[in-house]
Amino acid sequence: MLPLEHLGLAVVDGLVNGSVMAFIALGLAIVFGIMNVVNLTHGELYMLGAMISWLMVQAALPYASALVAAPLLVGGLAVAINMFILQRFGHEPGQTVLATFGLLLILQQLGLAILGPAPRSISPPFNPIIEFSGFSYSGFKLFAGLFSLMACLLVWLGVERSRIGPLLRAAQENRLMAESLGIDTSKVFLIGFALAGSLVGFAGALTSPFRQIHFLMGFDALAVSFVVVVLGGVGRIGGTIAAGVGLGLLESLAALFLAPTVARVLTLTLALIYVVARRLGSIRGVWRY
Amino acid sequence: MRPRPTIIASLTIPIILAVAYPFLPEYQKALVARIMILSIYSYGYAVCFQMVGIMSLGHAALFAAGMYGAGLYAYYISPDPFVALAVGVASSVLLSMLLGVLAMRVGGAYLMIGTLLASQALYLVALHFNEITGGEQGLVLRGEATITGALKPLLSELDARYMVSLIALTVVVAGITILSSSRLGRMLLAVRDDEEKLESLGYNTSILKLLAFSISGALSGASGSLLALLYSYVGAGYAGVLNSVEPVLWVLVGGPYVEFGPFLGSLLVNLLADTARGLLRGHVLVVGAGLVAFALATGRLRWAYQILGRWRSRAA
Amino acid sequence: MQPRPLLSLQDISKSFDGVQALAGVSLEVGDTGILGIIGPNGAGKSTLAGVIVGSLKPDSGRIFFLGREITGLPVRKRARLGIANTHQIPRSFPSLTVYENLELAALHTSGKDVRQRIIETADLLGLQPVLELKASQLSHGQIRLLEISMALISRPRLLVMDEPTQGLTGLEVHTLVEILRGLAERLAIIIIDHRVDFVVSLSSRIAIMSRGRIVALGNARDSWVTEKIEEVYLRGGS
Repeated sequence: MLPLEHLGLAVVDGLVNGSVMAFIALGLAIVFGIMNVVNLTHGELYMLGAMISWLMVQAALPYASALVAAPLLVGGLAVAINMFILQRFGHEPGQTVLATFGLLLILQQLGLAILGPAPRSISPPFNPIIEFSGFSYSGFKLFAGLFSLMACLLVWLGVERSRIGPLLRAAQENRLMAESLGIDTSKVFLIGFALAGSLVGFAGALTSPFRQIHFLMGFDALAVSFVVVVLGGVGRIGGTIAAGVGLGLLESLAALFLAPTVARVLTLTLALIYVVARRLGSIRGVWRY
Repeated sequence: MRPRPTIIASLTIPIILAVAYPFLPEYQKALVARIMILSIYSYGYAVCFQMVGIMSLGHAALFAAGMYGAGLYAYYISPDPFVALAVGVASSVLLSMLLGVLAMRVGGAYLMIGTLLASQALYLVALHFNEITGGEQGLVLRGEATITGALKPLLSELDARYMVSLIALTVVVAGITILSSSRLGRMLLAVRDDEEKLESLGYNTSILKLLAFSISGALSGASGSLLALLYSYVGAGYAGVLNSVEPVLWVLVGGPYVEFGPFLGSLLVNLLADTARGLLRGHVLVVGAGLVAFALATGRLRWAYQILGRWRSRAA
Repeated sequence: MQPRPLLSLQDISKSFDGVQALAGVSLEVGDTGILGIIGPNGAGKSTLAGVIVGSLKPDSGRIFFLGREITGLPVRKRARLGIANTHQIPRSFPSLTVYENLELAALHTSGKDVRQRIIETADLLGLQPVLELKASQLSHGQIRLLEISMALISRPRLLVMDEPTQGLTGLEVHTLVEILRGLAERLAIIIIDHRVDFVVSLSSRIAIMSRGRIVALGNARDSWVTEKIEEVYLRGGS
């Protein structure tokens, strides 16, 4: 009943979008998943990455330079947010939510001031049309998807294999204990935020040629990133990657039959059901963070 | 037992607003009327956040459920604003009971994320059905479908808005005062203080949380319904994130007394935002900066810390 | 032992992340008297308390209270059956006054004159002068006494106390001992504490735990108790 080429296109597009989703969520998987900081600015950092890319292309700079500048600038901003605001109250959850929600609104307005109310777009630096049997696909999107997946796997390996992963976890789980073991937790948070910020800034720049660059794009990215991190199992980067790719595929297949908005609503609902069914954050009625 | 304001004392604010009415200039009348309606939403949020300690980041969904319930009923089904108000409140109570499952079963950061995701889902639903809801553009209700329209023979539009808002606010403040000095109010505070301890005294804290969430939903929905029926407009903008987080700031700015705080907070923030309206969307910036400032100051505000500090991870 | 004990644990086991905290504990508690549970850190004392109160679910084994099985019952239902507890770090509701704390604790019990009972209970534990203060204004020792009052006001059949002397001054411990002795004539009390002398002097029966098992159980006055304690603390400890 369904033409096979539609299915093929949906699968390829789903895998590409899923890899990109995982890449966008990766920073949140580090900051929220491992370090337990509910950073609501994550989506806005993504928007800023895309915005920087647009600004540089407007200034006639090569697109590739955005891939360098966006992670540096956005990573720097994330570090600044951590150092000048979140660190001041020791990443206390309630205060972190307030502050990052406030920053979300401010950064959104910054986006509006620079981008204006209408969506912007830039053209990809290269875009050969890739022919599959029966359908064709944007070469740049395919490149971005593969690149995202590679980057995800690299970060996963890096965090799990190196000293960084255990350090990030230790700083979160018991700050006092970590301090007494001689770990400088503020340095660990710095590393975490720098890594997360530059990753999501890079993701913003990488995806800017095939997404609408709009000052409100961040909130959707934030919601989806939370879904991916939560469904992947908090604290497990591998799980985040799998959840991202899986959800991308699922949404893409669902969009064969449903409007994309409905597919997104279903994704959000799925995450809600998961959160409720697993009684996340609530252990025998104890408020656990 | 505690020095809690009596009903008469807590009605100071509505009384002042009633007395001040003849002396206010037109513009301020309109502004205060709107703030009164929004402060009902603020009281609704306070029931959740301040009284029982649930931090929801998706209350705009409850506000919007009331607004759409009332607005769509008046627009499509029957132009009777008072039935529409009941429909609006009922629909947000229904939604709050649904979302209340989150509050019952999920805790800490996941509750915030869950409410955030739920409200985003409902926002997308409102946009998806834009042929019915009017999407971001919204719908304009006809005159006879609104409260201002129904009161037209008696009162001017501005007078009707002010009077109806004032009556609604008075009822809400009296209700909140009764609730906070009641046994139920103390149970809710106990949930906020130590849910597990209350459970070990034989209480079903899940039911208490669901109840609080429903009361909160009823008030948020009443605010949304009244806004729709007094200003003849419904729109998806009210279901967005800004409207979810604004009441958090209102309640925090308002201070520890749940009888006065939610109104004072929404008054202060909205007046400040109103003076900043010359700037590019100054309102949003005021709210954003206010939240950051509050986060930085919370350590010095004991009562705010009592609410916000409860998510600190407990060392095993 | 009576024909039907008040509380009976049958072969309870519980482990956390592969670490065996309770390894087949069986225990019976009668209607009155104090059972003291002692043992080195990590012996499983607090886990046992959690299993009785209902905040921890055992991996295997069954629990009976008043002749009915309560293994699967949540904390609040056990509380209503008459199991009250106090925590290692005393807990109360800091935003409420002492009176309101006691009122909440009394609400779920029958008996009409709540106010009278609140005053009586407060009198018993010396909280009368602070009834109108908020719990957040109390000293650590007073919060401890408040928590015990909250447990007692519901007229429980069984009171489980986890480290009740922690953070108390010598005088306060003395007061507590007097109160508990009086109470033990009306209800069953289980006390878990690392102060061996305190537990031994107070209890009618003693259970000694080591590595998730009850290694000895008997009359507190018996001479073997001291020997066994020495053995467990010096050699069998963690």
